Amino acid sequence: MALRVGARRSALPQVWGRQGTLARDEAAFGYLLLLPAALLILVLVGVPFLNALWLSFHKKLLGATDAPWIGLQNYATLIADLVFWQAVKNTFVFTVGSIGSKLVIGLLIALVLNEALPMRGLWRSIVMLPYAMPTLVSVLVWKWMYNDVAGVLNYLATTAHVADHQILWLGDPSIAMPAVIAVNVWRGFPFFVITILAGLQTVPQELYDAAKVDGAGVWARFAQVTLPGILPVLAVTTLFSAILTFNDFSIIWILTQGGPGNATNVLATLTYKIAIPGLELGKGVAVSVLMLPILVLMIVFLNRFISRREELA
Amino acid sequence: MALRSRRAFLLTATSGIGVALLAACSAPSPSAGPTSAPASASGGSRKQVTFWGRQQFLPESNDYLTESVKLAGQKGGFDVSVQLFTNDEHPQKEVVAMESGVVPDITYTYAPALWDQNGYALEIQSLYDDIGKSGGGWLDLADGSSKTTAGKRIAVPMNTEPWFVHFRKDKFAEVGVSMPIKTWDEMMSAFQKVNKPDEGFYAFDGQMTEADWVGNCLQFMWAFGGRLFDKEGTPTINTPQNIAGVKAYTDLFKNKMMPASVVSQKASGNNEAWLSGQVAGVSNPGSIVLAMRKDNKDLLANTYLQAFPSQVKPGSFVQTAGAATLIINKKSPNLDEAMQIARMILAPDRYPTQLEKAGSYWFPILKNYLTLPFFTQDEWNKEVAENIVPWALPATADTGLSPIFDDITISATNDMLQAITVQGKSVEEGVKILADAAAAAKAKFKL
Repeated sequence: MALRVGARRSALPQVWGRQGTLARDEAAFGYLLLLPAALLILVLVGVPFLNALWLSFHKKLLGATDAPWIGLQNYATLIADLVFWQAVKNTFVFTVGSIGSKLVIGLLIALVLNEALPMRGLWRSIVMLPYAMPTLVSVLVWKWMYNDVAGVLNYLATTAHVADHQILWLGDPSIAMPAVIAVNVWRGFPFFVITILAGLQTVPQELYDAAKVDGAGVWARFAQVTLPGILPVLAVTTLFSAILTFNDFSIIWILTQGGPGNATNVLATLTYKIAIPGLELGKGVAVSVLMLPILVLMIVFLNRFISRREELA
Repeated sequence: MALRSRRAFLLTATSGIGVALLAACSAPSPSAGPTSAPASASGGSRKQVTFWGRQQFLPESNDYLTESVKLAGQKGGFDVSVQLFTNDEHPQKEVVAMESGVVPDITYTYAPALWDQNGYALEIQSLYDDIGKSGGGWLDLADGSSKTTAGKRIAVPMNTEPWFVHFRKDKFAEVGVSMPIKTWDEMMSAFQKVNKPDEGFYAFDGQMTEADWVGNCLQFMWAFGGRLFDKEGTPTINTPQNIAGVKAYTDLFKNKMMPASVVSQKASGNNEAWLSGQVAGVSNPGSIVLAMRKDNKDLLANTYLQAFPSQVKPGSFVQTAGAATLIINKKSPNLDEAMQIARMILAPDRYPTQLEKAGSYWFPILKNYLTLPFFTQDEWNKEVAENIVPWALPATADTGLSPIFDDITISATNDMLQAITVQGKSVEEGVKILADAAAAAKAKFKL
């Protein structure tokens, strides 16, 4: 018996040892399987990023063969440049204005489309149209609508006697930013609608029934049941969209190219203007690098949020 | 057993992926020529020569240009690849090509100074002289469009692309002004008379952005005797003459003699304003005339074309003109072939038709072709040939081709005009922005 016990005892470490080896082997295989993806990320993201960082410390002109090391001079020049700070401010105004509007509009429409409407499927499809259209096409249509001479918006405004003169939608510095935000909102709100709608459908009906039994009104049901139920979706959608909006280049470039008078010049358009037409690749890259901490912060928040939800689940 | 099977599977799969990756990494990469795209064939096969250019307004003009390049290939026994890019795309293609070092053998460009700055432009004085002789000599415009500040001949001009002032004959006639407008004061007085902002009709449309800057704001600076550079290529922007010119130009906006939308207009903005009947005058190259020939003959009949009257020299005129130029990549292994292409495009039996195919956008750069019926019999071409071409000078006439000019034209001109008209800064402050940008460009290019 004692022998048996002893044999078992002596056998245990062997089994544990074998299992440990197996676990290590499995982990090693796991890492090995990750290797191709990691290599791809390293080659496609890591190397260009490091190269960009390296470039930002050089006076690199596009097309020129020599690129002398200038240390932090590109960064110092940018930080001393008022146009850079205006672009920072514009980027935040553009991002916050766009995301805030998309969130409110997306939530309202999602709530409506979650109800038992006639032809609900059709409405849901129609709402998706702005998101489905190619960016270039839809923004060019908006540009034409904003046209001061032949645009439909000025035609409607003057016909309806809302305005007695042509409104410079993209030419007036005080209107241009709201105008470009409006286009970004128009293009992006369907993404909010569809994700919030998906979130709404996961909120159990029993909770609404229970809330009704407890005497909760419409607002209370929204605040106490709906909102907590879709909060994870709202947070992820908002953060994800914020990252994309913060980086958005095409809408502003097509509509205003950052004008008038830098009124809509955001960091993405500033980067392009400095690096490509301005030929100052190193300095342009430095703008991008300066955008990075904010983007990283947003990505960290997003990742943490998703991880927490996974842990809770 | 199950574990072993799984491990075996994982091992096999991982090994497979690893081998595939290694194979992919070690696969021989296709060799590209060091500086020419694509590389010339060697070992007895036909050479491949790459020609890049910019699309023109009329497709038939692109087709004819392509035909000339291909014809050169046929006669010279080499293959050609012709790639024509849009106006927006072409400048980016050029800089990216220079950055990557994979550049065409010969390119039709509006930025010859940049090609020289980056070490690609071949010195081609003898080719320039040969082509000049075959066409009866170059017009004055050719010199400044093809020679650097340092005196190097790096480009073959292909045309004269003059800017011209378009005046509405009917609208000016209504207020008692007849064409041509001969002096600066006469022009300003005519602008006052024809301007009716309350009715949405304005005297002039000139963009307050970088777009069409050369044909508009720069004309006003020249009219007041201003210049951007001295003969040595040093920027001379912050001068009383240039300030007076910029003031006269921006005052038209401040005094509501231009539509308010000029602050956000891009290159086609003044075309739209003219074609929609919103303004009595614009300065533009041939695109508006081409559009009217096609779609609005009534408006064309009421259009008079002339140069800007000088403010400082009454009776004389100022007018900028661009020129499309051919640059040969000095690192190309196909230099002779590239030269054959240049000769073919400007050959006496090809060039006149090329000019005609381009409509009223290309005017001759060689003397023999000024008297072509196309330029002497058509009313508007004749006006351009008589009223404008004799006054036409390249924007860098004073100094020759300079990357500083190209650089400030990209955005500093926009910054200057926007500062004055949108941000409310003084003209002096605005001109200083341009002057500072020129100084920065001079330092940037180590000139």
